[in-house]
Amino acid sequence: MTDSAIGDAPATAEIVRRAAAGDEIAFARLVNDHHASMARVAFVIVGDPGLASDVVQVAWSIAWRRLGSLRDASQVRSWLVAIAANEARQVLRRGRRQPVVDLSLALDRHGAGDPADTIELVDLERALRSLKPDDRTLIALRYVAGLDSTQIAVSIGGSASGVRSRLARLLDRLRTDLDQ
Amino acid sequence: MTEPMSPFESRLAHALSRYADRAPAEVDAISLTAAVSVPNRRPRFAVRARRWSVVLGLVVLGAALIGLLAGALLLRRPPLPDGQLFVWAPDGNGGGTVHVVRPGGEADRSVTLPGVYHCPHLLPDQSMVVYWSSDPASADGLWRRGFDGTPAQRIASLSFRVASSGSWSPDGSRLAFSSGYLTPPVSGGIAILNAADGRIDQVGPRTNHVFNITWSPDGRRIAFAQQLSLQVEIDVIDRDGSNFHQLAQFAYDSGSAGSLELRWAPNQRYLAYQTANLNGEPGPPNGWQLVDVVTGKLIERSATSSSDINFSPELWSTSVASPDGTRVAVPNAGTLSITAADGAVQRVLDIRGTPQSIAWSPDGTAIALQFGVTYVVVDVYSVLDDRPPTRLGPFTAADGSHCPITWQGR
Repeated sequence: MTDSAIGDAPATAEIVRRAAAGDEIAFARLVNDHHASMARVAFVIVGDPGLASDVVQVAWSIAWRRLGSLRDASQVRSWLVAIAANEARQVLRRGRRQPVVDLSLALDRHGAGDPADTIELVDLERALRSLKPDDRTLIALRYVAGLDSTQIAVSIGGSASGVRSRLARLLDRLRTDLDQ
Repeated sequence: MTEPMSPFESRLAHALSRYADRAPAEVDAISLTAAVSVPNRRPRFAVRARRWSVVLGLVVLGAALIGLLAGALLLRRPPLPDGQLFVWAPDGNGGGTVHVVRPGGEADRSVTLPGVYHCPHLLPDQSMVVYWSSDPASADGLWRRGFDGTPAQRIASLSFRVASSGSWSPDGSRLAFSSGYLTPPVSGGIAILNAADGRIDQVGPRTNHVFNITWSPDGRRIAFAQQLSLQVEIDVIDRDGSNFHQLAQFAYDSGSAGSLELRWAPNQRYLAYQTANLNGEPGPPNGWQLVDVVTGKLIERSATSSSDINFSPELWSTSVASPDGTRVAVPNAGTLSITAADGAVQRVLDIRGTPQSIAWSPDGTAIALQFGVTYVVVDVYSVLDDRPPTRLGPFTAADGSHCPITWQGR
């Protein structure tokens, strides 16, 4: 299974190879292609745009150092997203940081849409905040980055079946929280 | 995607996708690459060397030769100036840690402070940190604390209004604020607190409310505004209360006093003032008025050199002047220009983004740039040559550090 949705696989492999060899232009291409995915995953985990931005910058720093160890270039997206997710999780653990969410601002941000959707997002934000960093990471990798259980298992350790079990429990909890 | 989703999972994925739209999307890929790639060349070499062990010997040999060459070149360069860089890292619980580090990267000292509600700073002799505290265990006010573990001492019991409206001298030794904020309040004039001994002197006219207190870059003079009936007066005075001069006076309503701004030129010869002239109230037209502090005469800006940094109040807010006032550092999207007084660009440094704050070394031969809010790093550049920056940190600031760094001592 590959995740090289951006461009064809040989081109991706070549970009990864050149970036791993220290070609900064190739690395910038990776940044351009994958930064948004990493930022989205980091944001869902940490819940703060500024902190997410810092997290992704650190993640890119890690990626620069370790890109040479990536065995399958077609997995570069899931590999990068997993680095961002792990860094976001570590930041929450280290700092015990729970960003203060101004719900009025959250409402303003989404005020232009369907009121029902707005409430759903606020509820979603509350539900995410109630999860442990590890659980938020799992949710973000599965439903924001779109990784499957095998890719997640590779990213965070463990087995694919274990990931599926944890996801099932989390879904039950979120279903209860969001349907209340 | 090979794993199917239930209807609830699809709804959740859709909602998460919309929620994630709030994530920071903009990125300058080239600048970010430049920022993350600089310190990591050595590990990358290590990976490649492991992969091609045959090449390792050549790489090591080449690196040794390059190292010898670089070493020889570095030996010819003057070292970075010494001193102490002061970095504040809030802990997210109302307090934080003061880090004092040397420009070469060595940690010097640190002290943890509770209940800090405004940017702390280091006294000129670097012996004490001065900070505003709202710690319930102690009275509100201005406090100082050393690095040796001795208890904090309260310098003065001053209101929060002083913390937000007062102005610290450039060397951090004195705090100037309106005497009206003393307890009991005094009508008019400027109160100057000496942080070393807590003594408060009052200078300036004692009749009218004083605001916009602004120290000259060398800390010897103070410009300020005072409210007269329906007029505002711009004055300048030496910090000991002598040499009082009125520089300008114009009709102005007190309700808009906060929209007045004062700035000193890097060479300290000129003072600029600007009023927003809100709500059509009388006053000078929008835009900066420039006045010669020595002669008191207004400067006709069309008659000045447009490239001279000393005639450019617009530039003074986006740049940081060198200690001797002869140059300014101007950040601009991944570069930092060192510009001389006549506008000539002396040097352009490639930097890793837009710095949160900039601090010159006291001797003007190096410059420190603060990046990041949660992970604060400080890059120290020589402005004399093109050597790579020395990176300090990261300092983890759980609550985000929005206080500028300072560079003191020699």
